[in-house]
Amino acid sequence: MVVKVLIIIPGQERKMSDLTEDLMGELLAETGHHDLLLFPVLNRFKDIRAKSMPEIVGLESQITSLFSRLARSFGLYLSPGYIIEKNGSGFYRSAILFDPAGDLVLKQRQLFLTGREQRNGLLKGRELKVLDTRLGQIGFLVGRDCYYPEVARFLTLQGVDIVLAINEQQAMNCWQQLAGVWSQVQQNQFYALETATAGQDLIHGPCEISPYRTGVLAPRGSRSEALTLNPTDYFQVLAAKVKRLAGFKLVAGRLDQERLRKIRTEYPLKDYLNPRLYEKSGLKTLLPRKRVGR
Amino acid sequence: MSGWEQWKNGFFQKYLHWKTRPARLKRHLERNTPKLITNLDNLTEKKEQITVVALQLEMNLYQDILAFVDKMALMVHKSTEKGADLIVFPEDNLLQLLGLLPGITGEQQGQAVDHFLSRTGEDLSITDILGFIGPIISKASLFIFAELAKRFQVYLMAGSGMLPGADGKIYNIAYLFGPDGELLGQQKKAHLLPLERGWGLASGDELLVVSTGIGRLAFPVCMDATYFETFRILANQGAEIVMIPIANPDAEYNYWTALRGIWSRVQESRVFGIKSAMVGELFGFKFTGQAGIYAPFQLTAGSTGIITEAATFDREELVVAELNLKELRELRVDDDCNLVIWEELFPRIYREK
Repeated sequence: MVVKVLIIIPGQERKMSDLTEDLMGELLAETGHHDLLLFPVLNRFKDIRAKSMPEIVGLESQITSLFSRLARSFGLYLSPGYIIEKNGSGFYRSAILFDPAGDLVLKQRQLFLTGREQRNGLLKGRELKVLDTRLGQIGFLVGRDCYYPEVARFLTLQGVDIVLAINEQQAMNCWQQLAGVWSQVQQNQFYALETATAGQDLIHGPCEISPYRTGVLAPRGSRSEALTLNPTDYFQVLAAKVKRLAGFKLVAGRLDQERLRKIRTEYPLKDYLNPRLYEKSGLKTLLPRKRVGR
Repeated sequence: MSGWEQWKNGFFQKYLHWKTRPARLKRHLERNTPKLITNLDNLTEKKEQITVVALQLEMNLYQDILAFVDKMALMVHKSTEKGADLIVFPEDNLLQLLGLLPGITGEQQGQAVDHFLSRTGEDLSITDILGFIGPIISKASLFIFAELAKRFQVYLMAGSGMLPGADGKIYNIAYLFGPDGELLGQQKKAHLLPLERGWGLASGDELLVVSTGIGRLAFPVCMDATYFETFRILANQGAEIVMIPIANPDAEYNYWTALRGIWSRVQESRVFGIKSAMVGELFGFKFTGQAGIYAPFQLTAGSTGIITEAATFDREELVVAELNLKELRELRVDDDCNLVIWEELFPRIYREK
């Protein structure tokens, strides 16, 4: 099965108030049918990013009802990225996914937080879920979770095929972005749609089944660009190739599940994990630890 | 095995032990290695600023062990001329001594493993061959690299070889020596290639960190760098410098695929990383790879995570860099831990894979 996927990202000139059902409908009609769409809202509209979490909370119901209707109208799996959920005096950053019937079928709270996020009242999730769909098994990486390799590993061990990643890292260069979702895709063999607040919006796959073995399915450069330019320059080429429509950027890709299965069979990275080593080493040696003047 | 075959094997083993006897190797080293470099600092001081060399080495089958000794001594000498405190040889470095096997010639270097096995005229597997010659390679390698480390007063990671462990199983084992020639540790590869498992190799189940005068050193092998767990465990055991010897049988070198090993792991675990690479051909496999030296983003120019890399991927090179351990120790990182998730899933989820 080939899954048609799309990321839509608002450009600088777009505001949250533009996000009407009509506009979304026009966009989706223009881009043709896709099976899975990631349309990040809270981390990509500039006017929303400037707001504090308490100010954003009210948008939760507006976003969920709009995206539920859109998913149903267009018959696709649709994620608006994350919403902010209030919990007592704290908040969760919760990524959500609607199915083609418009039902909210997957909610994943961010699991790892920065110090600043904790000081701002964000709370950590306590569960990691994978949703079984006709497109394959779907999971989320939310915010800092993109940089904690255990999250992608645990998704993989639960069978994930497609990961929706909302990377919120600020002021990063291409190398710092490669250390996140791209590295997780390579050590776990899944597909990922990544929307990056300060980087490139990318569709990833294992190097072996991506153009020129770059690990980037879309946008796509040429062979000579991929093989001769360093990653910094190649990323600039990719940025120039992103399609634009009505003030939105579009990154579209096709995820071939058969090719993914084939690479997992030919080179089964998961089978070569070493549980005996990890158990012998113990839980404590596998936990991330604070590195402050160690 | 018939009586004649047993006698023949016993005879060849005795012959090879005689050819590789320490007294012969030592005499050769004394006559032929360059003048002893006096680098007494490595024996006495704890250093925070060190020079490391990652070797990109061309694969050869050595029929003559003295030629192997000369080559290893030459690489160590060249490295110490660059001021090396630590020299890192690549994966399968010790397999170059497979050329000692009776009947092996340089021509066979480019021939497939199956062809090599068929020439033995016996129904032999790779592990049979390694079980036969492995003890000889181990003994000779331990002596050669201990002598070189002592003579040049440097820390030496000798690279690895597929060699028998104490339990008789064949492992991919790497060795680390101190500047006084002491064997500081041996590390068995913990995550195998499908090819290696197919050959009957066993995987190690321990990761070692060695405290030295030039920091806390670890040296897992090649594929171990594909798994974040390796570096997480080592970093939590206090590793500051993680060496990864590789021999990557990928005829078509690609920078992106090369990037997904040690470079990614260094960024996740925030240690220094040193990658040594084997290039060239052996038994139908073409090895490519770029030796390199890596550091967390915060400690590299342009936040690339790369200190330096070899200019080529298929030729012999020395890659040199200075590492400042103090900077690494002072690096402040805002890391988090989600104990709930780990306690819920570990170790069940790994067992159920």
